[in-house]
Amino acid sequence: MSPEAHRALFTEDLERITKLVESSGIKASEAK
Amino acid sequence: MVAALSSFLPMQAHAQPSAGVITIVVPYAAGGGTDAVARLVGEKMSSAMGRPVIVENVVGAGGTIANERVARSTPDGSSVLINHTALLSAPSLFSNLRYDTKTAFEPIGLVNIAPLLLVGRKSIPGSGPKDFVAWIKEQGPKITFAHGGVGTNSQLCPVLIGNVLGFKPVFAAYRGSGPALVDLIAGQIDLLCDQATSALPHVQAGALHGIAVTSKVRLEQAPDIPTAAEIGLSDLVYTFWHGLYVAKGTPKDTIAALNAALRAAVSDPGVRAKLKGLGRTRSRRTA
Repeated sequence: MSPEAHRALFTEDLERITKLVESSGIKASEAK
Repeated sequence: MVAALSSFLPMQAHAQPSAGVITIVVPYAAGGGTDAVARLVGEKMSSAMGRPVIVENVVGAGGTIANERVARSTPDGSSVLINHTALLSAPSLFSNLRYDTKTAFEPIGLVNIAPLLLVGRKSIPGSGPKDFVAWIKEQGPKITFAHGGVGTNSQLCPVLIGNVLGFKPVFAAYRGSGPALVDLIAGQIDLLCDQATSALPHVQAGALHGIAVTSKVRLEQAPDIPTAAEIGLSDLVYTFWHGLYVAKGTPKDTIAALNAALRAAVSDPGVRAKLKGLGRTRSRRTA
């Protein structure tokens, strides 16, 4: 995979994971 | 804990003595899945570039210490981060990051893409995966999922399962999936989503139920374990990937050289075979 394709996947999954974390109710205080 | 744990000195290293050492920074402990992947490709990248490559485990704060190390490193390609989904979940979990995940890194390329394996304690009632899923639906929040770290794949996958089945999962937190597997085998917790490399041996040994793989196709190394879609969870598709990154501002020709070395590494038949053993799937479409 090229760096450009990796960048596109990174951007796409950053949005997906952000939504998943935010929907989960996982709290920042739980992170260690 | 910060420790340089291995080095790969290629036969061609003497050809470019001034090129310097490349450090692959691993945000997790030695012996885990990410560490294994880093060492596997590091050795071959070293050969491809004719430069020594070392692996350094920089653990702590959900991997963000390692992320920051590389984000704030000199942008010359000598510090390379390997990370997975946790790099993407960190900004949602940590309000005090000293780097901007969206802009701090230059991607080099992907090492592997793999699904997770949903495994359960042997005492879950039923005679097969469909029965186990029916039990999960019935029990909902009464069951306990283990996870190996906040915001990691092992926590986000159950979140997705809960979204699909309509309940909010209850978690037991562990420091890595290793201790979680111990308690799962002992029957003290119910379920775990984990990388195949660590969970599958316990399924094959008969210590755990292999319930489903979170990809659209079965794993070659676990052909008896159905996909989530096959047992009625068609919306449960969860894959993760390991990628390599350098600091923003790294010259394009340096990124291109690292990408070429990574491509050479993952094209090596021996590496491909070992990545397959780690649960690698061929593409995002089939994953």
